Amino acid sequence: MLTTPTRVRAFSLFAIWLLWEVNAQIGWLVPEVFTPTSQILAGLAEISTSPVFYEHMFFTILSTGVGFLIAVFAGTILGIGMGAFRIVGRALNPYIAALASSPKIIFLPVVMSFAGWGTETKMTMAVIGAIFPILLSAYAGMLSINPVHIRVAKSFNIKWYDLITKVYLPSLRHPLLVGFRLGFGASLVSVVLTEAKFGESGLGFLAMQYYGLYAIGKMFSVLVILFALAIIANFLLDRFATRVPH
Amino acid sequence: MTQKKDNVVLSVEQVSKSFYVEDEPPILALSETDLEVQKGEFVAVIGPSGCGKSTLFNIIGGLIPSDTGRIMVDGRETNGPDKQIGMVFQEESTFAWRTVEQNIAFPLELAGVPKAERVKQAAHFADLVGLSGFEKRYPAELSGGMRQRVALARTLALEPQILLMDEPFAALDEQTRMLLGEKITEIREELDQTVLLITHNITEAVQLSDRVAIMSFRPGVIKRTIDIDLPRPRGPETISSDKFGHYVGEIWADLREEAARGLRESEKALADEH
Ligand SMILES: Nc1ncnc2c1ncn2[C@@H]1O[C@H](COP(=O)(O)OP(=O)(O)OP(=O)(O)O)[C@@H](O)[C@H]1O
Ligand SMILES: [Mg+2]
Repeated sequence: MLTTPTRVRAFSLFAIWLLWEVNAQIGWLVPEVFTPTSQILAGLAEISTSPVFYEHMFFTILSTGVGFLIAVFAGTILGIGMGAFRIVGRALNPYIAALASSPKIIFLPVVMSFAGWGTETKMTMAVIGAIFPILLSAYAGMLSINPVHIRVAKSFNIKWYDLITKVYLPSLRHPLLVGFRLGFGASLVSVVLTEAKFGESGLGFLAMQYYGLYAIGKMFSVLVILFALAIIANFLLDRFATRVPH
Repeated sequence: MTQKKDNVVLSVEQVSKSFYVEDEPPILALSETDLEVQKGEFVAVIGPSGCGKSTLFNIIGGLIPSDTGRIMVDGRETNGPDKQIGMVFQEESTFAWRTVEQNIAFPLELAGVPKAERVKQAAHFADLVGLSGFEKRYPAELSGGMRQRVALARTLALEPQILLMDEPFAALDEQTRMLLGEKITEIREELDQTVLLITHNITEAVQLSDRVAIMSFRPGVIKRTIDIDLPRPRGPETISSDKFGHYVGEIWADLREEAARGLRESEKALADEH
């Protein structure tokens, strides 16, 4: 029965839903949190008719998307630079590794003192969240580029920009995709956290608002939407990945 | 094969190269090496492991600078990678993300050749190395011998006058290697190319070349060249002839000393480390 990945996937989703629903119905474990799915669906139906919800969603998507794209460009370029100039790369690597593994929320006060309370702060936080995984995977990829490919390219007297676009970037395709995936998740987390903590808009803010009002069904429906956004983004990255050969 | 002796297309003049590794005495990989190759000639450079063959290859190809001396192509001194020299590397070097066609067209793309022309040229060179019908495949879908032919076609695409190869068949099995060797001799006749082949395989050197240059170990210099006076094409009969065997023996006699010395020195270096 569970013979294909799709079936296993569908079954595990169903099993989790069933556990959740049974628990919610008999009110066994923290019934305030595990609301019945009917309530979440009702919440979804309700918020999806309110224009305010779309406004919030728009701000979250905008901040995450713009921040992520900036991080994609900047992270890829910096990672390639660090790999191409080994001395710079080796010199900077410990700092970057330290920054990468520290919680990005510590940058929030600094960013806010520059950019205020608005969308710019969220975008900046998205950039900070996404840039490290992207940069580090680009750098790691640069270190494992097949040196003979570079020698082949040089034997054809390749120009530096052709070397980047026709050798470095395609060689980095797999590590970069991993970096983009991790980076997108990180930028969404940064944006939603910022919204939840200090924002006046966005899905993170909305979820916290519903939480404060004990509207747990609606709060979950916001989380479901966030989940769906992450899935859509992943799907788009996947579509992009299948166009990349081997 | 009779060559006009005044038609030098490639010459290596007094080339030296040392490598400096921290905390170790410098390695003199090449010491005032000379070599002249006539137009249309097929020359093999043979020598023991570590004698500086790849170093010579990289210097002729302009990928690393020499300490002294110069490389002349058609009477002018080269400065970095030269259009007239095409390089084929020992390692697997096809681009995994490009199809056979796109691999072959790579240098044409760099040269700004329009797409339609590139596709045409790629098809032509794929055909030349016996890969027509595989244009849309990726390297991962090919055998090792086919991939090396893709690399060869990619180098040929710019139609270099001189084909420079560093043990291009080293990673291949014996039979594939013999067949590819035949293919290369055919191709160079068709394209009227000059070939400098670096190898450590004596049979291969005798099977393919007009002349075999023997390199010594530390310092690396060409210590002797032997003309291979055998009819072409060199099929199984030629290879099983006494004369062929005689050449192999003669080269081995010369090489044996060098190889043994190389082995002794590397063993000694290992022993010193412990
Ligand atoms: N970049 C380098 N740094 C330090 N030493 C080097 C470098 N390149 C080559 N050497 C040394 O120079 C010598 C000649 O090397 P080279 O690669 O030219 O030998 P080779 O004849 O091609 O050997 P093989 O048949 O094993 O490929 C070797 O002793 C090698 O250790
Ligand atoms: Mg070598």
